[in-house]
Amino acid sequence: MRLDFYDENGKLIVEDIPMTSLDLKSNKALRNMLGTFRRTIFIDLNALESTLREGTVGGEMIVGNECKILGAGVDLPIIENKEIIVEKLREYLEPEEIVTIDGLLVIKLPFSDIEIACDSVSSPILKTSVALTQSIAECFDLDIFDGIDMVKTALLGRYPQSVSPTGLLKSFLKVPTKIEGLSSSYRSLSVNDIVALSGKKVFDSISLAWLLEYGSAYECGYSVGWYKRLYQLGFAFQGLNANNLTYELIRECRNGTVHDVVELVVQKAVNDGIIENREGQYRIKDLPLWNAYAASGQLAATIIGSGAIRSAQNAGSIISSYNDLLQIFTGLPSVEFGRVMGSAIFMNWLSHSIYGGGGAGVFSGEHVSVKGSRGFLIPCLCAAMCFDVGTQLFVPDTVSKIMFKLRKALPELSDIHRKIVYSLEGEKNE
Amino acid sequence: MNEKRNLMVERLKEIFDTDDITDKHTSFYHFGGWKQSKRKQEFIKRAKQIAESRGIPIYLRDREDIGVPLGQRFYEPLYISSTDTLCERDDLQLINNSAIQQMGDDIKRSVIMGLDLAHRILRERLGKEVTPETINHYMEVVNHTVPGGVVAQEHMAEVNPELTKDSYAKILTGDGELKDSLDQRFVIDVDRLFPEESAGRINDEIGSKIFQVTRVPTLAVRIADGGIVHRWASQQTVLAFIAAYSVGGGAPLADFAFAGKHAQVITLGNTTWPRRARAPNEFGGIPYGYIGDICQADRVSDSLTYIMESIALGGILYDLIWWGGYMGGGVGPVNGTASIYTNEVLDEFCRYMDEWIQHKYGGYATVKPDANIIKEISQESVCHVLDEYDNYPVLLEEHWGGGIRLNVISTVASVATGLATGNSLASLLAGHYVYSHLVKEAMGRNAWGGGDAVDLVSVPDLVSTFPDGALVPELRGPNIFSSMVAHSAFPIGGITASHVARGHPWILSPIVKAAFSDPNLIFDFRYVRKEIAKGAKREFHFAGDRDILKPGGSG
Repeated sequence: MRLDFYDENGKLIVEDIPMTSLDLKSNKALRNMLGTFRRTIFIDLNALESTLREGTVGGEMIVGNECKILGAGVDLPIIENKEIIVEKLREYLEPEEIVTIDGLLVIKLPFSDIEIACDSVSSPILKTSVALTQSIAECFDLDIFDGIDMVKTALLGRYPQSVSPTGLLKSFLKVPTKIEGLSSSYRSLSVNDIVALSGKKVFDSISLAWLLEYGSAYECGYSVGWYKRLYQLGFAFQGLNANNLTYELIRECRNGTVHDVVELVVQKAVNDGIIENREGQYRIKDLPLWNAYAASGQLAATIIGSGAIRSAQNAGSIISSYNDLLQIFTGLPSVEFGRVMGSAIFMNWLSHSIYGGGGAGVFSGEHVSVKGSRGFLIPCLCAAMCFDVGTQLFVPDTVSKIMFKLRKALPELSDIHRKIVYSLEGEKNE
Repeated sequence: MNEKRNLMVERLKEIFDTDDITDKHTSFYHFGGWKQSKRKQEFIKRAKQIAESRGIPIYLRDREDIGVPLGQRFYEPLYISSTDTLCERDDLQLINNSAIQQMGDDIKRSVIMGLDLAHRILRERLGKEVTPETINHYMEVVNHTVPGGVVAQEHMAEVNPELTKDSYAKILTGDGELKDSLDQRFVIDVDRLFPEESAGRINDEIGSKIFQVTRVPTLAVRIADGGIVHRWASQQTVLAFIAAYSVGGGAPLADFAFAGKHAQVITLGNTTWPRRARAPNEFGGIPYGYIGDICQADRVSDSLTYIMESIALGGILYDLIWWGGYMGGGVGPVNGTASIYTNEVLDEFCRYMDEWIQHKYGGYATVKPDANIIKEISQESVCHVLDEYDNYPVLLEEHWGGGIRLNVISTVASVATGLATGNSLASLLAGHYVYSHLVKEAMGRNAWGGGDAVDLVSVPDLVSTFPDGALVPELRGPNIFSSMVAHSAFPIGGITASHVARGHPWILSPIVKAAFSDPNLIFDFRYVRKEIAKGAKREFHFAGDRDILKPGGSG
């Protein structure tokens, strides 16, 4: 099977791409993009300086800070001396890249580091904390009782009293002790983080979300054997607008309803020979491809619905009702055979109830409520959040502010839909 | 020998029933075996009744063929330090002492939530007004929902308030004007509860932020664990917001819940590592710095007493309940823990070191920490305490194990170093140094297997930049390998002493400090040892009672 890929304006980018190009084993560019998420560490040096000065280390509230150790503050002009610190980091870490943008220090460790590490999500942050602590200690000639422990604590928070780093030194991904399920770290970015990293561009956020979900699917065996083609096609159609299907569905149903999208998806699937209507009963001829078509329809319905009201609040109900309607209309399985509908119902309930959910932007793929669906749900929530004009309490502009800055430091993450699609053409387009 | 020193000697004379506590000779094996203990006689009598009624034997102390025949040594009773309460060792066992249990329960069932985010949701998403009047109304409602009252749906089952009468919510803010305009039944009034200077600094730090301190019922943490606490509080709080502000269902509820459960919540303890996995708000996850904040003795007593009360609190919490109970898997190490809060021993040794510091350095926090200072103070502490053990063989008899003595010695060194330097890192280094090296020089390797194992690791760890080390002392706790055995007294003592020496009104969090000044708590954290004494005498009024559910119960 060969596919064509289109951009957000419905224009062809690359054509006649074999499915094998989507395989992470053969596509080095995709592996590099995924690697960026593991080996990039960042810290707001302004925050580090003020935290050390105030002694406000160890707090664990997301909004606010409950801890302040009196008498422990260390006044270190870190920003003023950032070049010295950066030079030392270069020596100790031998990073592939190290840049500062408005006080945000971004370090990309060499690929070899994550190849060596058994736990390649935790290793970069721990290793960087050691190097940065020593760099600061040397820069300011700190002795044992001059606050070296404060520096390390500011970087890693309560770790190892807490089971994950909780300080100012950040990585994109959550360490395994903080997430649900093994090999799920690629799924630990929140929807808001992905949307911010994508600069709120709808197709970029979908592609980025899918890349991460796809990486996790690959990592934990969801994309081998019987399931390999299912996730490859999902990535291609829902994630990358293969054959312009998602774009066409949106364009044709832009003034319509969820039901219109369902009808059109079914019609296209019949026309393309993926399903057939035999005496009023639908039958599937190509199950993974049907799933990919259904998933494109789900994304189109979300974009139309959330785009219409410029809010992400309805995303969960759109996704669950789309799948419900699809099942009722065809008698065929909905996206991911019920996993998305179940996850969307759970997500929808949590984002409208007293049980602790928050809005669409705070969800992440590995969370218990939505992890039942791998790949097909989170990209739709990302698309919805791109359209949100501030109806949510927790929005990318506030809770994921740092991700917008990271876009500048990591150009490989911008325009990512196009970059992924070009990568499918092979090494020459990396 | 000062007056307080005499008190320790008098205690030893009394409990060993001798005038000469320097006598190195004694007659063992002539004390009457287990029968010398009134408690054990009670236990045996009751055990026989239980065995008869249930048909399965229980507690066979009077059988000579089962285990070691207890009572070969003299069963000396114990005075709880700072009290006149004389009790048996069995009275300090976790299961036998309701005050110790409630102390843990009151910590575990507490959670603090910021209300500012919730108020923002009300104002910005729902267009509601938030005023002192609406907050007062909300506080009435939340004091209906948190103990188990229903507001949202018909046919929901409600909780008998008699079972949850220890459950409530209060407000904490540093904004004096707002505080004064709130219904005082719901306010934790820092100005009234703390000395003026401390109150001022706590208020300044909290500022205009508003926190809700919620106590879920003791029964809740008895049927579940610390993980239920922030969830219970959050859910009942959201329901109270719905009712108090007439908020409909939908998206804002999820934001309320997210704010309360995740975004602005202060749980006291972190989740622990998988092999010892426990939910938030369990004791192994509580950082050392919170112990001195939870302890409220600084509001009512002198510095040393505050340190001693904190040590008792932390020692019991970590060593008796966490290590002995949760981790050891049962009845718990009563002896090592009791040694730090009985018979005035630790008080006396610390008082000696306090005077030595005043004489040597001229006051608290007057000397800059370095390795030589730590060594100097530690050596003095060790020499003094070992001398005292030599002087009073009955004290050796009372502190009968190397681990027990080391617990005491290292705590004295740590407290003294904290007082002299005002530096918590130096105090911890002193404690670990004494445990791992100094005492060994004098006494050989004397601790139990889990003793200096971690201290040897801790000394280099504390001054490293490793991820596993170099965490500031106030944030360390028993979830760290190098802090993970049952001698928590010295870190608590040293850290608390370091901040006491510099006159700090809290150790780690002004919010936690203020939250535990609440007079409605069942356990009085101003007087830790007096409360434990009440438990030993069976005079402590605990919560979480289910008697009304018994046949014939009423309420």
